[in-house]
Amino acid sequence: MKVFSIAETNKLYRHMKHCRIHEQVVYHQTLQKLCNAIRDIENNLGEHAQEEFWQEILLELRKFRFILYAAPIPINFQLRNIIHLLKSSKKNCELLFPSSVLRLQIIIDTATELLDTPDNPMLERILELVLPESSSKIAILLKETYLVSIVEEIIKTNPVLQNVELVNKYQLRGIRCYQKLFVIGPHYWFPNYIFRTPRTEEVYYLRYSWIPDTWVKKPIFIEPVSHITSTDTTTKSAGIGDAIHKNTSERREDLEQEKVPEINWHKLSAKVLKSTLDDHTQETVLAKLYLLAKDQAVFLEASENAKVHVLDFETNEGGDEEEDTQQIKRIPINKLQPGMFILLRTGGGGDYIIPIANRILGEMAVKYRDIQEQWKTLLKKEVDVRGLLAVCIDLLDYGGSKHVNETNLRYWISSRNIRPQDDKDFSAIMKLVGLQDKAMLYQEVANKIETAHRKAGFHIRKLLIKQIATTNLHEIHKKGYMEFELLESDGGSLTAFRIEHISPNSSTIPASRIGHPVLAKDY
Amino acid sequence: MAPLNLYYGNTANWEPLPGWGCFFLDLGIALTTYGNTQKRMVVGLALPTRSYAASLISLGATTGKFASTNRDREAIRRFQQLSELKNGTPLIYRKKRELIKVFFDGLEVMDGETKLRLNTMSTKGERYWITSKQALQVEFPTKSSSIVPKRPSRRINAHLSPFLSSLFDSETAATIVSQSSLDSLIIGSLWRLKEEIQDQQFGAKTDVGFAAGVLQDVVRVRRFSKATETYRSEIYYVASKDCENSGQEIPTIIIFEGATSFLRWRNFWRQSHWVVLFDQTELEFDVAVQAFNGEYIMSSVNDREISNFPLIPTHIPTAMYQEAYQ
Repeated sequence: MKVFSIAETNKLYRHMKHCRIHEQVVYHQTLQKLCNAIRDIENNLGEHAQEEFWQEILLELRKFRFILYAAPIPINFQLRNIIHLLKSSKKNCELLFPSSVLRLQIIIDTATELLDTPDNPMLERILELVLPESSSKIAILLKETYLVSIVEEIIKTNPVLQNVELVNKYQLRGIRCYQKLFVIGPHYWFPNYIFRTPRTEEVYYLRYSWIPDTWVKKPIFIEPVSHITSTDTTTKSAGIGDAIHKNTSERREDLEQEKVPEINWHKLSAKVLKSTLDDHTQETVLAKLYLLAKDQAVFLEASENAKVHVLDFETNEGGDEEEDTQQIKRIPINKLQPGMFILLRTGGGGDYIIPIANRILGEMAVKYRDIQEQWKTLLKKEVDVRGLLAVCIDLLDYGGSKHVNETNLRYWISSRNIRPQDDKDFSAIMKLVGLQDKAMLYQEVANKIETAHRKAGFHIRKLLIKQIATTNLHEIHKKGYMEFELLESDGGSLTAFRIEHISPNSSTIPASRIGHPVLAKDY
Repeated sequence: MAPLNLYYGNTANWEPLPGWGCFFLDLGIALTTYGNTQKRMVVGLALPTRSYAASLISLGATTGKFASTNRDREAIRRFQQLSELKNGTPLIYRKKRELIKVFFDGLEVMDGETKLRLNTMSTKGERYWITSKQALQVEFPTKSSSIVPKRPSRRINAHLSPFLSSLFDSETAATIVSQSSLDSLIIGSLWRLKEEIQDQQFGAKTDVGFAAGVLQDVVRVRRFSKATETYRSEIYYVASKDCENSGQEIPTIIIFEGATSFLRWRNFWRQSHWVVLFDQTELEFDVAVQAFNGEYIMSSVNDREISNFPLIPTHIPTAMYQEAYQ
């Protein structure tokens, strides 16, 4: 990865100081009427909004509305599907919710009115602002990465926009700068740095006239050093936070904000589970669903013990003693957050460490894995018969450490764990399952497997570091993923995917579904 | 303090250091020359990038250390720090052109003056008595044993780079290469700082042109230096155990380079001035700023008015306060 030069850094400070921010309000009467009608039905459904009938309709309407607000696309985009859905639901609405029929009809009528309208008010406004200087370095920032392919199709047909780059928020943290940046949607949909440390000379943020957007410029620090004057008198031209409405409270602002539609995690979860194979071992784990770049979704274990390899393009924080491992580190899964890149096995599926570790173990791999499986099966049987709590108590009686608890016990049984960290716990397990005579052998085997896994981890890191060193960061952020080819003997390929969203809730799923990314569109 | 005559680029094209760069330099100088000996300064800056901020503040810190008013104060500070060590603490004594491995052996009053007593491990059992004026000749070894000279004494060959000589008067330049002091400690990103400090070319304007060099010529980051060379600064990467600050030399300024650095290590380094560099594009920016603001509100309102401080560019969000050394 490249270190910024002083000249490049200077450009960032220049933009921070001089960037002009322009609010662009876009009007369209009929679209406003449609959106008001949707808002009207949302407001008036009350508790009925939770009914399955309305859930599906509202989800589709909100998605339709969000895409229009968040991308420069024609207002009749996907409108035919919406009208079809509404018309087909109307009969049931008459039966189940007769008081809402009129409101539903208004939506259908207004949508039908727009069906043959090819207007694209957002794009038209962009064209007005781009036209005089079409050779400028221009970018359009979209709220969600999945919108990129939709907008790409639209702008590629327009010669004026041929050189316009579609970017996501992650790309605007780097060194690449633009002359004009069009931000589609109200400002609060985007991180503050887009406006505070802009990678552009001018920002135009476009929103429809009826979308609330009261910009309150909040200071970063509690009390900025405003009393210290500067010789720099041109700073005011930055215009950042020009639209200040001091009387608007934060709470009211939050209430007025246009919400981004929630992801239907339930639907997505069902889809992912359907797309991955169950190995019928009946081992289950608590897992969370992660929505990744490239329209991928994956289940990852939600246990506090579980860790995952991430590529760190952000903090350069070291996870190990060697400084060159700083970009690849193993962190607890509960520390993951959107924007991070997680490493998943994409060729072959599942855990990428095991095949490499097995290669390191050589011909002993199968035997060692069998030995490891033996004590885990016996331990699982004990838990199945007597329950987690009773087994925990026994383990403590056999000299287990303070780490003995139900969560850890579940983890020790799972195939994703090699052995308890504390020898006391391992010894207690051996006694509990009646293998105390061969405890040394089992412990030795577990240690060998652990060493092989560690070596496999280093091998992977070394390999990835080489590839990352030559990678263009802007391109990684644009794509949202990075592929790594392993040697055939290492077992296929790995991909680092950027996390886009994380499901708020966990669910119990078959362990075999963990770590298998699958394509997940239309959620 | 005369401003440094600093340029960047290469031998074909030198550009003056931009305004933001000069500000970082001035900030480093201002902190090391800060007049209040009872209180330490805490400065938070929200930046568009972390690039060059820490390295230039570090350069400013070393520059400020050689302001005339600072020299005696620094020696006294080092003497106090050494006096509080446990007997037997390993140290390095820089005696003229020799580097000697010694152990602290307590204090002794000689002719009415308190001196540090240092013992060597040699069979001769040599002893040295160090006055407060000589305290800067005594250094703390790094935790890494490879940097501690294996032989009891080694000949030192101090080299003055043209860049260093052009930035400072001859006495200061000579002191920089012959006397160690931890003017600044950066907790942050090693790989990037290494490039900024060791690879990026800077130039000092002279009567006959430009003397080219790198920041390392002045800031002398200990981990980038040879064992026998003096140091003026150090860098710990964020996950390093060194950040736990156990029995290490106390730096004049701690530079937390980034959100993680500040969040993780702020409670370990409260005996130094702080500069906290927040990169506004970082994932943990909001959490770290919240933590900083939490520290800020604990400060006395009277300690938030700082006079005689360098002008802060208005486009760089800044917060500062002072508090008693801990």
